[in-house]
Amino acid sequence: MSHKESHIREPLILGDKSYHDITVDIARPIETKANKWWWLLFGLSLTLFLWGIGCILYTIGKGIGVWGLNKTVGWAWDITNFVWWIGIGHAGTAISAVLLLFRQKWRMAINRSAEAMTIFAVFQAGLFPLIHMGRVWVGYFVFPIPNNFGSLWVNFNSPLLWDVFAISTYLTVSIVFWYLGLIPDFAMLRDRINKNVKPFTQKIYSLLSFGWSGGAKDWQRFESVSLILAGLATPLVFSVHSIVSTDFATAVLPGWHTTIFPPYFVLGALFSGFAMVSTLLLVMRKVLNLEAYVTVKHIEYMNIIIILTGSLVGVAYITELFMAWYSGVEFEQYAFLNRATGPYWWSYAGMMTCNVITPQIFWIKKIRTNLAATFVITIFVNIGMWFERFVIIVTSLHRDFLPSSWTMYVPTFVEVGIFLGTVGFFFVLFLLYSRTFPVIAQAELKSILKSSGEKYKK
Amino acid sequence: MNKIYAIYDDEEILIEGIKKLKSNNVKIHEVYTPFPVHGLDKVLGLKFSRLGVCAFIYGMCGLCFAMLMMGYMMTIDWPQIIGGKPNFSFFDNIPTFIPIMFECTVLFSAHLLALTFMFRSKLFPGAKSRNPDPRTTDDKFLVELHVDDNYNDIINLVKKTNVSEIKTSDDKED
Amino acid sequence: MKKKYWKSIEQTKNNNLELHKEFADKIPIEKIIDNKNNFTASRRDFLKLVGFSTVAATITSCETPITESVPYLVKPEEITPGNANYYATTFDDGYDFASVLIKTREGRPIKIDPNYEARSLYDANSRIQSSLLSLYDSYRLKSPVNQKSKELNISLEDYFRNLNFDLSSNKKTVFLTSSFTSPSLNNIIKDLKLKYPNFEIIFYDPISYSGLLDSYDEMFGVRALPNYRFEKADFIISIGADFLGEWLNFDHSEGYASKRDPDNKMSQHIHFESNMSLSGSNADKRYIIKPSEKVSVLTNLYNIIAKSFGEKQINSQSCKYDAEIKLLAAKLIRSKGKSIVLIDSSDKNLQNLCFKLNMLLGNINKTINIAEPLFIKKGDDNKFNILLNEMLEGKVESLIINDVNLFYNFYDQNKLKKSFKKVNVITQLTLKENETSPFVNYIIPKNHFLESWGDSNPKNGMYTLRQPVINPLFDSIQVEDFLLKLLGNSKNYKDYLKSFWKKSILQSTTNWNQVLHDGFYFSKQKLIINIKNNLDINYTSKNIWLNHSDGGLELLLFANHLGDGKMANIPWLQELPDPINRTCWDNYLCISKNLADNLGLKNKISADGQLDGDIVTIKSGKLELSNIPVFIQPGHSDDTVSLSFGYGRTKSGKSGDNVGVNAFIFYKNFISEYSGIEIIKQETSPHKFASVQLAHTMMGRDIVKEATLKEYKKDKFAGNHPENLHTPEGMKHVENISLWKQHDYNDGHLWNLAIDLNKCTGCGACVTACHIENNVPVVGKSEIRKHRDMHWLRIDRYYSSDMTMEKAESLNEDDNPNNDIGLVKKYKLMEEPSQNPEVVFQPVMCQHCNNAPCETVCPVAATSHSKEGLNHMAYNRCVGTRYCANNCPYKVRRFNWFNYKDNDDFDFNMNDDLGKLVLNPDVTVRARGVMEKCSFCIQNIQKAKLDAKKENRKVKDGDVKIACENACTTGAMVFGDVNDKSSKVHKEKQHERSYNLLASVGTRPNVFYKTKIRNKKDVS
Repeated sequence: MSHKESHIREPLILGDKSYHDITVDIARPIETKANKWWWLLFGLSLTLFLWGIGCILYTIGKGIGVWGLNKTVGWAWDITNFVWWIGIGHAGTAISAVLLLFRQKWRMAINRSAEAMTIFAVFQAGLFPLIHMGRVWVGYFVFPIPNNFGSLWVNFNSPLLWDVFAISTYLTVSIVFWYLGLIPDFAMLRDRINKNVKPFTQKIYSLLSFGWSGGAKDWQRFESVSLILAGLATPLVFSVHSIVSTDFATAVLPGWHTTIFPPYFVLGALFSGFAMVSTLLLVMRKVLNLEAYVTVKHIEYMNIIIILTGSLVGVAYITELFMAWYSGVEFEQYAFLNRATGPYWWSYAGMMTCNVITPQIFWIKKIRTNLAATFVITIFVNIGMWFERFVIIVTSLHRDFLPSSWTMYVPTFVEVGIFLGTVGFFFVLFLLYSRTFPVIAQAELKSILKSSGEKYKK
Repeated sequence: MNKIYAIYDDEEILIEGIKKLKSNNVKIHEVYTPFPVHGLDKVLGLKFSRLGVCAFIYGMCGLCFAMLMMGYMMTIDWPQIIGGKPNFSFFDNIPTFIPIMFECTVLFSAHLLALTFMFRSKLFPGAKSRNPDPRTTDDKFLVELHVDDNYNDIINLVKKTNVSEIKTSDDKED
Repeated sequence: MKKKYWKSIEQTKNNNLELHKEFADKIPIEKIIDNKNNFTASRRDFLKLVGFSTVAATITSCETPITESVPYLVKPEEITPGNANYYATTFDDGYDFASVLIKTREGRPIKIDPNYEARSLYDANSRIQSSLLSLYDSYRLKSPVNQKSKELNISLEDYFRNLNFDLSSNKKTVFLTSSFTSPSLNNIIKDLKLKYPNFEIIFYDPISYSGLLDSYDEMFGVRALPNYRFEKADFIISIGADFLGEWLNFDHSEGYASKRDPDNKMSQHIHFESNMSLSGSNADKRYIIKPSEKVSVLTNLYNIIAKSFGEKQINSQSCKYDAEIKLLAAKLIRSKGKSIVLIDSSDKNLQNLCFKLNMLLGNINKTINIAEPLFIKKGDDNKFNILLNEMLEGKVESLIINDVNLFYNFYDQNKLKKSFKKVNVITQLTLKENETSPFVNYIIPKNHFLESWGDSNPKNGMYTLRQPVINPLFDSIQVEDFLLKLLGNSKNYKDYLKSFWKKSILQSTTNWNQVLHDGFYFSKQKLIINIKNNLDINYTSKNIWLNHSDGGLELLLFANHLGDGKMANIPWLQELPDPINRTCWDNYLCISKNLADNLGLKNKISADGQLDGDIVTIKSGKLELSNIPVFIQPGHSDDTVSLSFGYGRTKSGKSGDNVGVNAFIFYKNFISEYSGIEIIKQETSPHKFASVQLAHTMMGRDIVKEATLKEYKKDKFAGNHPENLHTPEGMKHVENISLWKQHDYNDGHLWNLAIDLNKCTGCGACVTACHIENNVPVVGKSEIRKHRDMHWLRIDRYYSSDMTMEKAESLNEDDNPNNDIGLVKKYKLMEEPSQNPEVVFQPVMCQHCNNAPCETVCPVAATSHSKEGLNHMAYNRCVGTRYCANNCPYKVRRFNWFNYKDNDDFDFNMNDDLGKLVLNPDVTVRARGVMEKCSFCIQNIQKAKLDAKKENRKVKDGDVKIACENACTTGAMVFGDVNDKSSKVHKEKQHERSYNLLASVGTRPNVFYKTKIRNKKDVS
């Protein structure tokens, strides 16, 4: 048939799986009990999460003063974490939307979890712009509603306001995109679960499945909708981080005021996003034994993307330095010299090693296809990307135009606590997801079984 | 009037079967599959979905909404001098409006599209699923036929399309 | 029958008594506790009782002395709620003196401004402005205390009724007081002396000028301070005299600044000093000496000049600047009659020599106004020492201490204790208890100067009046009334004052009310002062080395903006950063880098970007002072260490106690220089400083534009060439580069502020004025240490560095490759200030940019621009993203990290019912989480506009006075409407020297500066 593909391509589904096997494998995590590893991770994440909540309440109770900020460094960990999480939240939609447009079949095994990760990461990201406000309780001022006297609106010149729109759009659209994909799989679960054994679970899933029946017309609509949504989501992915980057690019600060920020930030985002996806999948395929579906091949593909984006990010770093020198602007030149050699040189060094040097190891196929190595390197990349944001924000702020107001910055336990809290929250969500949701888009997967299944390639 | 459910194990056999039935101009009421089977819509001769057009229209609405909102708020209702920017004219200040114009476009078209889809396919929380056999979401492919006369001819016809099993509405009762 | 009204519907139904009962049942105490005290209450009764008694207890315990507000029944015709009233009065606490205006709102004094009409002695420096808060100090003594009988709150009547010391006994009664110049008070003293021959008055200045006073007495027959006329001096040589700072506590800066205008005959200022003082940092050329070298500098200078005038020379020893001194002497001779030489020394003979020198140079009655000397200091060391001995010998029956805090600021505490024991009765007149109080018998609360009448004669021929602007808050008395009571005079001082002035000061023609309104009065009749030109040189030379055991490390004691420490409890002062080293809430041992290295002492920048300093003990003979943090001060003499007075209070109040160390311990015999000092490093964890600025240099950036007078004469734009940038259409001035059409500010007002960096001496009066006017919160040491100072207006200070861009360039370009320095090294070196740096000051407040980066980025439009060029801040709209502050190139925006009002973590005047009375009702007290910044005192702008509107005229130039400009007596700041072509600020803007800070960023500020010009003409 038409969708049979050449045998040179390596299979994306290993073992001789039938449609039913796929159903069983995907449904297994939901139907079986969680193992002790899951509970351990869950417990740990929950503790971090609660600790984070404590720190947030403390901040709101006493004032932003409990953080390490000062008159010169007005943003530090808060916005660093915001950008970091948003970055991570990019891979999901990129994978499912962009790769769908490019008809990359290997996306099907991972897009579900990638999107889940996206959504959970954007939750974390969204938290920071909120709590970094001095007066959270009037946070609603940022929505385009008139003030109590009627005529004072928001300021559409402000990149922060663009953020409000960009992030809310991104979050909601991602959720819709994700959920539509989930409907047929929920339907599958609904029909699998025995009404008389587990009536409640069955009810839940039938609610979630929105009464999907899989008629021919439904499938036709379903496919065209997901195609259109992909088409919409793709520019969205690029726009969101471009807009986040304007938080800095539109400022006058040397080190922030840079025109290459939008592409540079988007690349960084994909870079960190893919890294985070691999990190999670490597754990997930083990814990939920989905090795047959998330194969080494998948990991390798992602590592290749990591080399690409990593190198591009590296190019961006060099470009920045060059532009600083070439601009001939005193402040610019010092700002970048200070990044590399100033009091925060270590963060710059950390960024360079983790983001530019480490990923290059992936040129070696042995490493690229070695899961343990991949795991370590992706962790490095995530750290590196956190440093990148820290470098951009703090080292640009702490020494700007007038030396009279140069200061330093150190975080307090509260800021650290809040960050750990979000990490905890993220994993809490992801772990719950992995036990209650079909973690692989099984319907889609079945549609490629014959083209890319090992069994059919024999 | 009786219903016939022909259940197939493989989408390729399904397609063949449908072709055969069609050629004997049997009216196929509905086909239920666990995943989108490529070419099925052609075989059934389904019309091209017009959702794309909707998406475009919704997007344009979003765009207009954004422009009207920002234009009204920034330049008509309460213009202010902000950073020396030309806030008194919408078009001079348009660069700052572009990001939100884009976002609103996507926001509107994506959400309204999704809603339209759910509306057309009758998807909503608590909706009753219409697939006659639960296995159609697992690994079975089901063709639903509605017949009133020459019932047996059609059964025989169906039997010839190496179908895995056939159910009829009456034996579905018990 | 009586007509009856229903009280309620119920009444219509059944007319039972319950309805009429107005009060609830009384609590059945006897039921609850029967006479045998057994508790027999029902639960409900018990609760009733508890509730009642709790409330009762609470109510009785609430005591709010002054905060209750009573609406005016009959409005006093001078007070209109919402309008400020100004009263002219006099500040004279024996340390500072000024004729000032008090701004009151609804009867509360809320600000102290200079009284410009007085034309002289009106400089309200930071201390004088801050003295306002000492009125609202909750630590003030509420009523007299008898320490003998341990009974607090006796009444003044009691005190006088059983006055248990005998004025007429043959033993002395001594009135020990800080300096005052009040003629009326002198008159009372005179009467007291007549009545009681054993009554004596002794003046005591914590920081003494005895030497100078005696010398003046010897030269000119009056015990007074010289009145220098810097506005007439072309050439100034100061030898350690910080005349722009604390020296003489007289405002020389105005006259000085008037001669710093490069456009007409700019003066030249040469400074010899050991520590880095305000004057030194303003000097055109600064030479570093040890305190003991002052002598040789002066004598050598004198000898050269004496030689040229054929006068007898005196023996002197050579000093390291002899070559320079030759040049200086030559220049002195050239600018005869137009120069000033001054020296700071407690050595009478040195001062004599200095006067002699000025005489030779013909400066007397030209640049030194002999006819109008200053009487503002009276202290006499000898008399005081004699008094102490007499007390020891028990010759003193009673001691009345007025405003003198011996147990804080006299070095020999043991001697004091001994001598105090010998005195029968000691009475202390004071605003609040202090270190001396435990050693006296009676403490009498005295009126704050804002609560009292008075007069003064600060300068020959000038008289000023003091009038109360608020009723005494507590049961206090003013000194004059106290003495009148002693005298047995029934008159109250107000009437006494009035009649005294009518009798002996005012001419019959002049109107008392007019003088009271003006606050000052220049009298024709003054005492005639004639020069005794019989100074015996040999006599001088014999004793000139007095007090200078040379050799060894030397210690110099100096005063900074805390002065003699009397006002240590005023948080505004504590939080005002030192103009030179930008550090607050501390005093410290200033030493040079080299010395620090030799002694192995360190200043480290900690991880959080703050300064940590090693702690030392200094020793000399028996005197010892420990726990002094070390501060490395560029431009400090290598063999001197210096320490400022005014800190280390122990009984001043919550803000002032245990801040820094008490330098008076070393103020032996009132000599501020000390030699043979030992420094022992203490092995304790380093001291944590609170500095607001730690980067000392401009890093080769065009922040403060500078040029020498020579360059300026050649090219008016010297050091200030317009900033042009490359554009597609070639080079363009930043003002002409824009992406879009600029808003038009040409009609209506456009408020601008001009700051002349040549006139600004960096004194910090504007910072305090802004602090008070705008209710800026005090945040305390730990927050300052976190770089969270809230000052809306700061004065940046930059040192010059040995490494400059040009130098680096030349080093790289010359053919010797091993001279080359890389980028990194260059910048590292540029961070280091020179050994003897040039210093510049730059006041920075919100620049009110027309293209404000802060406005663009605010998501909620909480900050936007007005048609008049003001950058507005809507506090109640602010959500606190801090983006505006990040995007401000000048970093002038301040964030409310915490709630600074009613918050025990910030226990300053805003957390204190009494202290809050000082708040300016025209300015919001900002809440937690909002951004704040300079508003150009918009409340004053609006006031001026409204007044103009009422009188239906245009706003005139000078109608609007903003706090900083008003406090700046040098006229460095000029505020006004640049669209008004006649305005001063418009003229300033046209000037070649004017420039915008960081113009290249394209913000187009409404604040502009004027280039700093140094007069380095022919001095090496």
